[in-house]
Amino acid sequence: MTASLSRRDWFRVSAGLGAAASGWLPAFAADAARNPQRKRSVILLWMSGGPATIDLFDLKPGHANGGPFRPIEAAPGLQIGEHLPRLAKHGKSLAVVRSMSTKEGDHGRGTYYLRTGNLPQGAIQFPTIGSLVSKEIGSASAELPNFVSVSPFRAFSQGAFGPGFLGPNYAPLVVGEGNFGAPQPGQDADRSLRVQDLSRPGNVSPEQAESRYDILKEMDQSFIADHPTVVAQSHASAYDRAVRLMQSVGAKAFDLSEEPIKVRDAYGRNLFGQGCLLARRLVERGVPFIEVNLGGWDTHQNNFDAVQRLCGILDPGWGTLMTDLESRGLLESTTIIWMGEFGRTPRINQGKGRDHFPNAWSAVLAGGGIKGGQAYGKTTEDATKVDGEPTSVPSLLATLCKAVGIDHEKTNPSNVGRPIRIVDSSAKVIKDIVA
Amino acid sequence: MSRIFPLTAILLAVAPAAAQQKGPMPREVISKPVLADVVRNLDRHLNDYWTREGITVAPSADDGEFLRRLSLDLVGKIPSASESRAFIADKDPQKRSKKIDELLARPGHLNHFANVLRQTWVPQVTDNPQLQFAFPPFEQWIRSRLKDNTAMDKMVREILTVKTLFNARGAQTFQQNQQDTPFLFLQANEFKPENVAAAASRLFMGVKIECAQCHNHPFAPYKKEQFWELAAFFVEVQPAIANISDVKVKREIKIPDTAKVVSARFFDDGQEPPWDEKKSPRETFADWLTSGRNNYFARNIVNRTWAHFLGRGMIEPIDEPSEDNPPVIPELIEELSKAFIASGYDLRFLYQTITRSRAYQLTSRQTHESQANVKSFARMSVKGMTGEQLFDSLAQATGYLDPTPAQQRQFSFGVRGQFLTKFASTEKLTERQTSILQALTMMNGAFMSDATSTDRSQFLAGVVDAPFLDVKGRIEVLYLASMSRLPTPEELERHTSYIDRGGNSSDKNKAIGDLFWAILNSSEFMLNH
Repeated sequence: MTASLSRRDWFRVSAGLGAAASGWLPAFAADAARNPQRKRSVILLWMSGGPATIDLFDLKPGHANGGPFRPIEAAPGLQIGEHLPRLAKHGKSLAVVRSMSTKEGDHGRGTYYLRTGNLPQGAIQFPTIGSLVSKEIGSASAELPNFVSVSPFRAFSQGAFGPGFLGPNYAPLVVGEGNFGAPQPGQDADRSLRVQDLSRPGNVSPEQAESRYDILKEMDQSFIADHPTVVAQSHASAYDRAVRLMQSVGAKAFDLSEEPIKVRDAYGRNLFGQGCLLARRLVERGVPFIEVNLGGWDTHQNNFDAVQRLCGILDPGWGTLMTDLESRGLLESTTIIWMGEFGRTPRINQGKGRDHFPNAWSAVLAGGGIKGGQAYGKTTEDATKVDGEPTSVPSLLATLCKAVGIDHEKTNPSNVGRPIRIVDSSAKVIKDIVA
Repeated sequence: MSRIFPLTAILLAVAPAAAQQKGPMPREVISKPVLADVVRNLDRHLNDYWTREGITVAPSADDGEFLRRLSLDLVGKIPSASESRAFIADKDPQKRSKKIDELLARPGHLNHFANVLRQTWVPQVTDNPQLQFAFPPFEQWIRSRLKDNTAMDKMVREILTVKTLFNARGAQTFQQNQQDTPFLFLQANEFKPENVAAAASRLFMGVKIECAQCHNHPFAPYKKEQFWELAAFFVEVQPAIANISDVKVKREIKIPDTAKVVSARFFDDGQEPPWDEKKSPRETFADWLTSGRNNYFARNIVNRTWAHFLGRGMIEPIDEPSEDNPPVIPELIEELSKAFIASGYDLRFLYQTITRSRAYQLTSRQTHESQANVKSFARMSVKGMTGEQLFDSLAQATGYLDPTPAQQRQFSFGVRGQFLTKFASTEKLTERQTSILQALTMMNGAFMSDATSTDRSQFLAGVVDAPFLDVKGRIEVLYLASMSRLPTPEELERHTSYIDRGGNSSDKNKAIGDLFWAILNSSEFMLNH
């Protein structure tokens, strides 16, 4: 009996067996959940600017560095910041890694490091995690792109948002582009998340579209034959994927007007919130990797006002996303990773702000393949250092891979001749938080 | 004989006296280099290299291929159909050289390079909404300098030493409609000495010292102190410091998060600069940068300009020269740098030299596997087009007339502006990716839809209606207008039969529109090869 039965088949089988409480079903179900063939998805919530995790996930209320925010309970033994109440309701699904530590306090290098798992190294073009992961768990023949990026803020590090040496086939479809930093509440997120020019012009019949596309393909094939270059390949690849997207039924996912107003309001009427809603719709249609970006976290001044305001966007978006995924039974096959390029200083500066601090900060893993309801690792009382063994970026990403069922030591051919692992071999999977 | 004798007598009299002189030697008089000689030397270095490496060089590009590429690189768009036809038919053996000079004299050349240089020097504009409206004065300033063929060392000097416009209270008094000025260079770098220094180092010295801002550079021998010693030259760009009269304050900077204060020192030798009471620290730095006493300035400009035309620098990555990143053909960059300095940092001379070199004449078709390594310049590289080049080429090919008022065209209003937003990218052109969204815009967007319909496109209707053209003739016009070449016999045959049967809908007009649509969406059209 294969483990790739659909939910409906399941019930038919168990009904036929007439043994709803049969002993072996739960074990079988657990097995199916672990089966990598089952469609999995990853959602990266990327917090550009370096969020003050000391005010979000690792509060120090007793200490001078703690600031004015108070912790609230998310799960027994797990407390998070008071400005994330909806998220706190999902505490049992959250694993907060409090021991993140790097040496990279520069936006550019930090962004590159966290998003590719490698420091920038001259010639090598490391791919972003979205490309790496979607290549492993996505299907090459899927009608929707395997990697969708919502509103990326690429200024800090252009190279950290692309497919690198994996090539243009693994580039993300970007929507909601052209927005700087944090989104303004009330923005017309609806229109900017649509895929522009997705439909053929009205006066072009499907047959005409096909026959003229044939002419185009023939021209391109002969050009590439004489000009085997990256730019030519990227051109051909983009057109093929565009046509596939046009012909797909799944492209309707981008039309958020299909959702009830109540739902859209619950996510928050801003680019991030609607981006989270889009992520859910894409997960429903089997897209394996979606990243939703929220910027504005570089709070060198007025940290607490800014963080509270950003939580007003982050909490409804993320919280509602978790709720929806759970109620649709998708949370167990969707892994969420939340992080920025570094944390912020425990010491509050003269502008009531916090500055860059890569030494000790938090990242969060949630959902599928993750054992939630816990914090992993800790920082000292004053939050200036990790207390115990620090967690490296490769280890965090390797843990994500493990949760999703990917071998992080698998290699890909790179643009400098040698094969390069998905995640650096120095990585140590955090076994405690993998289910 | 009698005229020469007194002259030599004078020279002989002067020479020994000069040799006994103490102090700085008189500036060596270098004669202006001869274009043909420099090109010959460059080609010799290239040929020697290719022979040494056993590389089979690609053949020369066809006339149409060369003209299209030259036009895109010099003027920012493809040539017109008639220009292409005339160039291909021209029997003058000097036609390529003459065309280079002709294009360099066009206003379009100034516009294109002003735009290219502005984007290179102030890349922050792309991502910063506040700067998006502030760039025209800078671009106009560049254009006017290019028009006068101002020497590059003078141009850079003006940029680095531009007057800061702060009033007594340190408030910025810069007006939007300021007279043409390079002030944006300081503004885009937030009037911070460290940002200006990092930009100056990368753009004008070709040295990416930025990482050393916070810690010793991990891969290159730049120390944190060196970075801040460089930044110390630019202390006066800060509003708070600009009006202070104490000169010493303007030469020192405190390294953030430390108690250490460093003084301005030159980058490579750490020497105390020859301070002059009449010169600002920035002027002293600019003097040193462009004096020819360091190896950076000329080589960097030459390298970047080479990369503009050839797609790749002679040193690549462009801003990381080091022992681990030597130039592929050292003699080539030495020759060109020397010639550039000798020409008086003449940009037009530099463009003329590069476009006449053998490397630039080669086809981009790969004819032998030894050409596969792009480092060797054994065939022309394929570059993506910038958004500006693509739109302007589309407009050229389709006869599109932009209805947006001229003053607004450079901003994001209007059809061109919208298009540019969609096609904006800061990727290197030889690595430029086409995105799904761009493909969708090209395939389904309103612009293309109008351009490929005989109902809505005057140009296409003209092609279809012209009584003196048969089907073959119409196809030729479409190819000349967009690919700058004539179709091959095989292409002609294939397309003729498609149009004769009316394509898929038995409609000859639609069939011609289909062909034009395919041409404009093709990689051959959208890429610069």
